[in-house]
Amino acid sequence: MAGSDVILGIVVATALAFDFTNGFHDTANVVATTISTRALPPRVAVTLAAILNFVGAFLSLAVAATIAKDIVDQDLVTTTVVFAGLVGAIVWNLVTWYFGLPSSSSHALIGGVVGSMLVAHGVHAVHFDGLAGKVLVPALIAPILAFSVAGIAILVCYRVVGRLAPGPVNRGFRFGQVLSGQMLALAHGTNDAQKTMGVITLALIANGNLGKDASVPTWVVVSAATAIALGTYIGGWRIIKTMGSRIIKMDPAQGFAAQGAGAATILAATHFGYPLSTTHVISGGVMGAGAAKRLSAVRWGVAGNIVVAWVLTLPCAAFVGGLVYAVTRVFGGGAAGPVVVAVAGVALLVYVFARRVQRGTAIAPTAEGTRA
Amino acid sequence: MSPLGATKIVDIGQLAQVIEVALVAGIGVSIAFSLVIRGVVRADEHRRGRPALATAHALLAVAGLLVVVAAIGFGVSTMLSK
Repeated sequence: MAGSDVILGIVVATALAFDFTNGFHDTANVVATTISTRALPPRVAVTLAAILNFVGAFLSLAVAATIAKDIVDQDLVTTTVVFAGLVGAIVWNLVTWYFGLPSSSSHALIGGVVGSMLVAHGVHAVHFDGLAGKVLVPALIAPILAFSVAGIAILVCYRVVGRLAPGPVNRGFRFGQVLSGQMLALAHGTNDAQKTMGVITLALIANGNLGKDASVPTWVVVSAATAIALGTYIGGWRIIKTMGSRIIKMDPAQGFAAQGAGAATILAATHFGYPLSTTHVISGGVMGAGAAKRLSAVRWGVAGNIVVAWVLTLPCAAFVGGLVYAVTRVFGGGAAGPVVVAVAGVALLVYVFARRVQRGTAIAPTAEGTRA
Repeated sequence: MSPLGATKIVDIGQLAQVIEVALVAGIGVSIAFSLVIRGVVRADEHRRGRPALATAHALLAVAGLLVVVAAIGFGVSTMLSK
């Protein structure tokens, strides 16, 4: 087996690992409000979301939005650059998951690739205007827009159903949450599984296994769909706890307003080719639904931590991506560097997992969302 | 950065469309679904004593439901066509 094939194998495995973290990290945002208002039991909510993420991955196979398009010079992207970027994204996803902070996996991936490109080729390989237009501005717009939409939506909802008996109203909004939550999960599957497919296809093309105009192989579609669905099924319980109960204590109407406004915002933006982060939209929606009822209902300290995590996502993932690329270069330009980093990463994960097993599971699903 | 530079980076027209449609769709779906709930609950309350009012509320619920179904259809078609 040639050295390039070894790197390709590592990139494919790392991309699927990133897809798995994307599943449990980002889809947690989608199911959190559904779980916290008891619209669905936790395990049912994540299972449905997993199925819809899997289905969503098959709905649209356009790989136009390959990684970091218009943000880095695509001709300079190598399999090692992609590998380092993926490691940067995975590390940031795991760090933010550990602290229960919802952050964008897509921004982490872009950050990782930008960092490894900076180290590999210098500043000329990064299109900073694309970075501002496609990442920074949407990151600012998404939460503010969702905050406003959800805030107005919840006020309207309360106005329309205000004098009705709370029992049937809550049952109605819980049903609405099931619908809007499943729409969000489907949208997430069509968006995020695509990115992994794009990464693997790009690596296959770069390695000469596929022609430049080749379509996505079926095994890539199935493996990416499976990885994101499995990650979703595992459930990012720490993030679910933050989104579902730590920002605001929400009622079913607020949950519906946050999710419904979130789904409408994401799909409206997608319709106009302006991709917004699911994480940013739902977080903004939850804060908006809480603040519209009462400003003090929002735990602004928790909200502030989430915003800090968003701000840090790009530079931190870029730092790790750049560092990983530099480490791989210490071992030369062949497969040795990626192999060493991959083995070290897996060994570290096994060590951390073994420590957690020794201590016992700290986070588990319950009817209220999670138990710490 | 000059205002012209900022305009180059951000497509202001596209952004305005996103904000407009997100506001209309997000708030519209919430109103429609709230009307479904209101219509169903009120129709049930008036079912025996005031059948005409119950029918009017049921129609309101159906109208709201049609808007919600249309919104779901728009969402799915958007996902399929991107």
